Amino acid sequence: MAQTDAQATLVDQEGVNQDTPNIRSPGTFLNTPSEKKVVGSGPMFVSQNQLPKVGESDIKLQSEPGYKMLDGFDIRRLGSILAQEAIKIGNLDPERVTEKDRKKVLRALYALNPKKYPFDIPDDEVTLPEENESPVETPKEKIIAKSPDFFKKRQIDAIEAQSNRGGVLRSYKLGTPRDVGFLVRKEVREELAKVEEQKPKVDLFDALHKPIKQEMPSPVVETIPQASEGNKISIETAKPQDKLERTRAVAGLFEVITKSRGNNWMNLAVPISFGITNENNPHDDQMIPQNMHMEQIASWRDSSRIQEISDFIKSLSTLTEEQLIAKHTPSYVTPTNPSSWSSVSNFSANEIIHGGESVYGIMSDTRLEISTLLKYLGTIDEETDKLQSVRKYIGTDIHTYQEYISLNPKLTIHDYYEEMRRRIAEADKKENK
Amino acid sequence: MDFTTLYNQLITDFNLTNLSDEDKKEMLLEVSKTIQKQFLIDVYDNLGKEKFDALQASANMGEEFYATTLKHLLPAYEEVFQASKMKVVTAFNNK
Repeated sequence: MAQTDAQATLVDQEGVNQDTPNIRSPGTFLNTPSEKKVVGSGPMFVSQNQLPKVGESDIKLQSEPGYKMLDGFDIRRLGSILAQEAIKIGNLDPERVTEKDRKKVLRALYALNPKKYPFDIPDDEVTLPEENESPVETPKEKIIAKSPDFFKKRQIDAIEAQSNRGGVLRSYKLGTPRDVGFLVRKEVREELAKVEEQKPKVDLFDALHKPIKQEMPSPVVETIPQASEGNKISIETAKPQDKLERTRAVAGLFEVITKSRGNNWMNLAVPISFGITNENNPHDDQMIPQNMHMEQIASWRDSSRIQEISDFIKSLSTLTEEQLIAKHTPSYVTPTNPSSWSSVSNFSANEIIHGGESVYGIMSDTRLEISTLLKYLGTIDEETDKLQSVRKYIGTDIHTYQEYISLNPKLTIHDYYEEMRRRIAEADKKENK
Repeated sequence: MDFTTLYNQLITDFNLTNLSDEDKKEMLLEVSKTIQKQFLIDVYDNLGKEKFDALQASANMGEEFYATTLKHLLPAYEEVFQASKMKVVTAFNNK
């Protein structure tokens, strides 16, 4: 027993001390381990140096419960000395010995030899405040504990075990430097901080107030032919992050346009409206667009925006060939001479445009008038071609009526006139389907 | 300008022939709005935010300012409008 060893050690070290009669008892002098069982049968002395008298003690415990004064000696001081001896035996950490430990030692000594060690300290009278952690909680641990390294190793093992279990590391209450646990926790915290940094940060506000961002397909690029220059322009759809902004901007402009043009389908069915009134509009007499000349909205007739072309189309539909030629070539056609208009009708369209033997004798003004007539026919040819089932100006080398006429040198004014009348009828028929 | 042709064209494109005249006009108004919105979206994509804001500012000053600015910023605005209209027509007919 540790208490027995403590007693033996005390006896061995101190021997008989005649100057301390108050604690001297007639106990047995224990010299060998085999004699340890014979306790309380030999002299037992405590060094006077270790047991100061009253007045030399720093603290008097006379009024404290659980302690008794032993012939004027400071029991607390005595208990401390005894506890130190016990520590020597048990290799306990002296810094962690508490008052409770001292009392235990005193109680053990009293149990060993009440006469020698009259430190009667009942358990129920122990009211001294305990320290936070006791390094020795059970007798078993007292016996097992051999050195501070033991506790240190035990603490580290416990920390590692907790770490392996994935639990939260805490400082092990037994033993030694708590800094070990602190440092380990610090390392773990740093590792956890690194993991947290690698995680995508989610803004709570964004998560609650913004729509979920989804992977969007790459922007679609559309090409729109630029009729005037033959070039192409590209339209790239807005990126997902710009869509909201675009929607707002478009809504704003649309509101302005709607206010200025009114809820009129014709004003909104065109890109630009100039706000003119169409007196001939049978469907709506409100503000209508002026520049309605788009291929797929306006008819082929509207595509001929020049007033004289429109008039020519009207006359081509209503007048005979003779009347048409007489109207548009007045400098050559004599109303009283029918052959004058027929000769014009038989002119080669190619020779009128590019020159030729048959046109050498005619006046330049007459040639200009006939060229203008061909220009009108050619314009109609190009416009009505867009509605023809078999087109001649798309997908071929022919892009203008001049090229078409050049490729058909035998084409006369009469032939072209008849062709245009036929094409007008076909275009109107298809458009009104 | 042949507005009858325009009317017939839209009626044909959006298959509104069987509707009454009142319903036709109502439908044409909605269709025209949709086309106009699609056109503005395409204009935005073409011009970008800054130029589109400038276009909106011009629209606030009047239709003529808007038309002049649109022509200046997007000379091919008619072609863009046709493409926008075709998008609406295609989407409508594929419904």
